[in-house]
Amino acid sequence: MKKKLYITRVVKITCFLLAVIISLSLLQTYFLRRLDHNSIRLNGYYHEKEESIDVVLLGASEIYTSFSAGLAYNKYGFTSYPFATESITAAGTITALKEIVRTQNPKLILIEPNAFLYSNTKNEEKEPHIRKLIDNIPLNSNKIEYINNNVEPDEKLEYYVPLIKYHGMWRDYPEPARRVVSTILQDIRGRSILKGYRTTTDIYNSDVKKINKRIGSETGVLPLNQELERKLRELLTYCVEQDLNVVFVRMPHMVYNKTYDRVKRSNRAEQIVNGYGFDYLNLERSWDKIGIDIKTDYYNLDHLNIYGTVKMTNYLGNIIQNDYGIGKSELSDSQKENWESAAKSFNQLYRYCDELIKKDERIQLEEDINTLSAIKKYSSEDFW
Amino acid sequence: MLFNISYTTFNFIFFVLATMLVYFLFPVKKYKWTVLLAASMFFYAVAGYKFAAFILITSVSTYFIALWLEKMTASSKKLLKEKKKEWSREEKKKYKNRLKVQKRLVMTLALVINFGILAFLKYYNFFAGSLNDIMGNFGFDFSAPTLKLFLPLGISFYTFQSMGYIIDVYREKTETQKNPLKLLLFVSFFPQIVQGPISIYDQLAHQLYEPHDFDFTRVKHGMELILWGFAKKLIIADRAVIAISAVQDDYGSYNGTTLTFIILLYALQLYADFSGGIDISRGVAQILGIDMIDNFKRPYFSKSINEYWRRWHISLGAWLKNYLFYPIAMSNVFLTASKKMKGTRFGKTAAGAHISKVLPTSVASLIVFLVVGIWHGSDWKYVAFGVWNGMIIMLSILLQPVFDLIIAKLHIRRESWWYSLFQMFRTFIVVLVGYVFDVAPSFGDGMNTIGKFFSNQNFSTALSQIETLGLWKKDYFVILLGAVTILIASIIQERHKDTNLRTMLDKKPFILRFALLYLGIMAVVIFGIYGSGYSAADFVYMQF
Repeated sequence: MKKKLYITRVVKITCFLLAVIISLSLLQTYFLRRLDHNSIRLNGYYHEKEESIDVVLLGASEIYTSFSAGLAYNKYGFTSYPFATESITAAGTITALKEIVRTQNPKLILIEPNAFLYSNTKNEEKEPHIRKLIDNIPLNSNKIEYINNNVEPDEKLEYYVPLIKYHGMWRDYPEPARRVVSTILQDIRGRSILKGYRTTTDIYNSDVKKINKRIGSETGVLPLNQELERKLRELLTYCVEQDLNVVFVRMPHMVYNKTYDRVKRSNRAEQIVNGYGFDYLNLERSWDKIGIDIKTDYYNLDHLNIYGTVKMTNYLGNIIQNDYGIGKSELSDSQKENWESAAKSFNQLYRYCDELIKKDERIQLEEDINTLSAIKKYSSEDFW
Repeated sequence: MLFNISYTTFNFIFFVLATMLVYFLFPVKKYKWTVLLAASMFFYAVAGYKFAAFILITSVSTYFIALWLEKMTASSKKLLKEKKKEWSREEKKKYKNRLKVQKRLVMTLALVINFGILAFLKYYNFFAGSLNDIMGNFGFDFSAPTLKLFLPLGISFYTFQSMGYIIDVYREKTETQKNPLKLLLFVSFFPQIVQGPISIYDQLAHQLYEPHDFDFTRVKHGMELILWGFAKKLIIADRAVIAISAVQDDYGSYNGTTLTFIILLYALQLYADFSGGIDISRGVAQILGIDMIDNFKRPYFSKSINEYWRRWHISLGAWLKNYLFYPIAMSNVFLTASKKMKGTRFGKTAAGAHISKVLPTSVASLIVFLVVGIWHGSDWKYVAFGVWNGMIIMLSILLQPVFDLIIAKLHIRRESWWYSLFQMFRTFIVVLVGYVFDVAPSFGDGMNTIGKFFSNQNFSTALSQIETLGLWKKDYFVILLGAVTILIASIIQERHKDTNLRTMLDKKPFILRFALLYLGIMAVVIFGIYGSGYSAADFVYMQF
């Protein structure tokens, strides 16, 4: 009799705890979480089959706004993905690289060094910039290592259980519903359609005096911030230890007086990177080769628009294929279907963007239900 | 604080779980109480290690003075027994009186040491400031220095509790605790140290020292009580306090309607905060097999202010009644004054007879509530709060025949539901007026607020002001929903006074219990104010 009572109690308590744990887990995964284009991009990355990506691009917003994996596949046949989050930190870059190695171990890793070129370490301390990466990495040894080394003791629990931080987000509803549904649909689909790409339908027009022409001949250097240089060397040491095929790629920004020091720091970073035996492609010197038109190809000072993306993807794709020997991927049928669909979706997105830019409608486009639904009516044939 | 271990942190939950585990698995039953002592010491060390000396002074002084009192009692009994035949009745009486004076002196020593520490730390700056103001007003160039003083965690609670024990030993109502560590546990038991309840030695101590085995129902009920406490504290109190603090930060700029709303919100916040905290304390104790007294019995259903104080902060009320009210009301001074009044011409009239009869209790009430006011804080506004409550109680006692007459003339049936409702409403209004002095930054602001209630009402201005208090409309909706839930639970409990909601819940179908507990947990997780996104307010009563 007593035994029966104990068993009933254990079963009831287990059911109750399971219901609570599952509910909390759903809340943390979808409903009470800071979902944005970063989370959808990384969620899509983790849906890619292990070791199926040839090239991973690591960095901040310059990466996911300048390069289209769908277009690159369409033109060059290799698979790629941007493991990139808005204003990624230097410490975050190291963790992200370890994640890339853990999950994909790609043939080539392109790293945008922007996180190491700041004059100070303020970006390293900005919680939103840290969380845009760390919150979107599943719990594993890399994430634990990051939290243990970089987060204040009394904040650690909130990094392990982000629900503690974000539980108050119920107030924001219904606004986050779009991204919640987008994430759930991406999980159901099991793949990313736009492969992390994000853009804004605009053409940048500013009175700020741009001085990009000077960059080509600029040989001056400025020291990196000490702490950031230490992190860059830590990253490079890891690359050497892991024998990674890494190339640093400085994406082309619009440079003006206020940001010109970054060019000199980029030159210093190039020296350091080369010192470890890695290539440093400074594309800020290659505007002409890429074919960037300052009047049409940016949507703001630091980010290319869809026209710039096409030029940049073509240029970089060529280098990846010809200089680094990354050829066509050998894919299974389902993988092929996945990537062909991504290529077609980018064709549709291009036409949609083109139309919006011509109509002067400025909106941000990313892999959400609104964008995916809007691009459906456009042709998926190659636009070039 | 070494690290944050306050009730609304995960550290506290882990700490309670660890204590539970060690306590129930502790192999030597006889010494299970040492687990509670170790846990209490750990809690105090973490939460208030800088001031641990104060709780030790209280414990040590209480321990030795209680032993001293007991020794005096024992030796006097022995002496009286020896001299039973030798001494005359007169001599015995004389000896007893002398002994009583000596014991009272010893007890007073304990009271002076411990209330002295409390008074100095809590009230020195208040009195120094007030003295400086008064001297300044009279043109004297005098300035008592103000000191940077901090209040040790739970000092009011453990001081009152220890002194209650000393008075009980003095009155020979309780046995003296011979083991200093056991007494230290009684003084510092961690679930009650933050905000009470103020327990009586005979009610609590033996429960602390007895070993308790794991009892599923007790653990379940304890956890349910903790959940209910968290819901009140995190969902309602800590949400409401955001708006209340916003008003307190710029008190002068709000109109009468906004202030009325804030006072109402404060009534809810204070109840949710204090009773929520007590529920957590009682729940933790219940899990460990210990029943602490209930500090609240739905106070806003009270039909008189007297009843309100029997339902609100019951343990403080009981302490003051036992150790302050009765000694004053039954003192020779008041009894003699009452007798003298009875003998006068006025005392022979109906009104005079009534007044002379109730004079000791009414004046004692006023004094007790003056102490209640001062206990709440070192500010004139708290004195006003106490005096307001004391005055109302004193007047209600003195004017009782007049009220009886009015009720009789108007043919009001006391047992009718609408009269009960009127009484509750009337009492609530009186309580709210008292709260004005709690919320207002100063006594003067409190008086201005009362003025604004009558002269500065504007609904549309209030609506726009309320929008700026740091809460969303959705937050106010959550507060309203929480208040309705408390109201429903209170009504059910009020109708079933012989049991409690958790026992009633046990009799309901499993699926209903499952759903209610599930919703409770989800509500706390989703709607609770915690985490770095918010700064959960400290428990209001922690400051006392």
